[in-house]
Amino acid sequence: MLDYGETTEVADLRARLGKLIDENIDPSYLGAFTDDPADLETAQAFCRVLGDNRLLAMAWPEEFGGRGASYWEQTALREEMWARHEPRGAQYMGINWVGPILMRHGTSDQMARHLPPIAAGEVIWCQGFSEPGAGSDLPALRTRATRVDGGWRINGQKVWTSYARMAQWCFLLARTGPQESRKDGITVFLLKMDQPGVQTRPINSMLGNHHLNELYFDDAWVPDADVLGEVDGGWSIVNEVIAFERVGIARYARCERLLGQARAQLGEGWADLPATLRSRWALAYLHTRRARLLAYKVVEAQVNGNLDPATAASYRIAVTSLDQEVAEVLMDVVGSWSLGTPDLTRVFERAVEDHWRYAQASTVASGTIEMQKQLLARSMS
Amino acid sequence: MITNRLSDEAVGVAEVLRDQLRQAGGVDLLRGAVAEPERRADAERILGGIGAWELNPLSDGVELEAAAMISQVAGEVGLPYPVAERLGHAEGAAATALVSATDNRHIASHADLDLAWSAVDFRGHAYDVVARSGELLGTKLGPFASEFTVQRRAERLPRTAALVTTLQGWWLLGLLKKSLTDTARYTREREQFGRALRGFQSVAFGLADMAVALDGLEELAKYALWSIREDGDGETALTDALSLRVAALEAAQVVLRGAHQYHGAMGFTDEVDVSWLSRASQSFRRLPEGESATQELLAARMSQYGFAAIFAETRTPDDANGEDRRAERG
Repeated sequence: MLDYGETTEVADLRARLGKLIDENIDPSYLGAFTDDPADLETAQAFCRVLGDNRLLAMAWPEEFGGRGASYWEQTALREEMWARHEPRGAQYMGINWVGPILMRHGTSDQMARHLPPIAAGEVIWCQGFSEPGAGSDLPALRTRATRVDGGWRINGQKVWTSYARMAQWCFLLARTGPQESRKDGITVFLLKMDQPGVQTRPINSMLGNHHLNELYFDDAWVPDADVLGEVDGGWSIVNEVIAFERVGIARYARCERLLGQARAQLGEGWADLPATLRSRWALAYLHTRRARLLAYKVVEAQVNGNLDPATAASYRIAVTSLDQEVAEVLMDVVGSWSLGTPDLTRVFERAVEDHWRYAQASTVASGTIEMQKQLLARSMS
Repeated sequence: MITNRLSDEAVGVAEVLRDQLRQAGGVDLLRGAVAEPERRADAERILGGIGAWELNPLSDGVELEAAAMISQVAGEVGLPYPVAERLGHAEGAAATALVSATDNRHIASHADLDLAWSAVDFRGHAYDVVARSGELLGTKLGPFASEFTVQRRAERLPRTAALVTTLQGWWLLGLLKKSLTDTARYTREREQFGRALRGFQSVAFGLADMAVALDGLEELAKYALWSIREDGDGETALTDALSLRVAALEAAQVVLRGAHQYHGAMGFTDEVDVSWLSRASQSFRRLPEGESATQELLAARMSQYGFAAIFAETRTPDDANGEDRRAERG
């Protein structure tokens, strides 16, 4: 029978997380990647707090630093974090997909070396996927891995790589087969970033710091022990990464919190808003619930081990479109404050401006909405 | 514990009904009833045969889910019968229609049928149906629409209003699902320029938009059902039912527009089911209040009663009275 009530366990977890955030994060915090470097330090410190409480990688087995929490608790964690501007900073990637993929495909040595630092909040990973000539068409990637004694030499370039300048490790895709092998000649490498053959360069953008970077490999080194899965067998891993990644961010949670705050912020002024705007706000709020329920459909499928790509794509299309719809409604609600302000006491207005900028990337990052729609249409009988 | 799966009993009832409706001709039941309205008795008999009229959705969770699934399966063939209105009827009535609180002309599909009718509006007010014209409008978009007059009662029945609205949402969900299935099949079979229509990116994107609208609608339909079960006084459930209706009207526009477009001229013909389903959807989409009025009402209710959410801060006590007046004014 249908049930949308949360268990006490999940409700308690939300309360606990809320308390930790209140104690450690300033209300004016807008995420780790602002112009203020102190925000990055805040995120790194908060990750260690979560790690100490075994709350960072909750759903992982205890041996890897988790506490075997349920998918629903993990979902609540995601929601609470994203709603409060992701105080984990770049760590969510390690938790959401690097760790789970290592558990599925890693050797016992790889799991032992890489999982505990992620669970403790001590390491940041970046994702070396996109290249100048391989965006949506990822199988066109050209970064080359050449076998040498004891390991591999990497040469090539990656682009749009979030957190590359702060990451200690890169989850890298490189070509090991001939160029025309496309999906069949790609291998996953776990590459240490701190080495002479790796260079990073920031790409300045409207999104904020650290979101976009270039990565250059000039005879960078990966030992055999850091090849993940089979040589030339990386594409099946890529598909799993993408599936985890696309449902990993609870964008609807921040939308919901900001829409709710908009109503409360305006107080009596709410009635003075144009009726059309109040109607758009209501519609956006409804669409937020719709996206949340689609996310729960994905989670339930994960629990039952039967998540299909179409279900994930449908959710992804709904939630990324929602992000942009809500951004537009909120910009209209804050009016002239929509251009932003250095006044830190205007927490809500600053959050709206930040949300709008970041939401522009939601239908591009982790696979464009066009690719999602293609996938969904192809899956129809 | 969150679960978005309906009970096995409800799913089982749906399978039985789907099979029986297929054997009875599917959308041909609608074609036949438009030509001869008395053939609506076939629909009543089939539903009676599976025990639909003995369900008590407001007092039993499984029966509530069964009523929803029956409505959905009936919608899949545009069944010419007031299924939601009968399954959701108020106490003391056999069928309960939805009426507008602001429009003096009251009209609903199948209101000519000889049943003990009552009515509710989207604000939860209850009405007696005091007279019925008994005549059918007989138009292409309203073949079974029939006028009646009402008198407002002192009592409010928000939970009944939520139930009828929600079951209508499930009916429309079924209709839209069938429309998408037919359209997906047609775009796979129909070739132009040497390839299937679906091979054209603009068509594929359109189909994806239709699928996303329906996936979301289905989850909201389930949520609205759960809300009725959980909410004893019905005010929250009525807000959730209205939100379902808003989403259903949005989805109907996306899905049926696409269904018409991708079927080309074929989609207008009496030969094709989509043509009939599009017409059958109209009375639910336009009556008793259309998309704009429903959206406005939802916005007012969200302010007055709140809207369940994890990070909810929608309602401020100072504003509740003002919003209440707006809600009443509609």
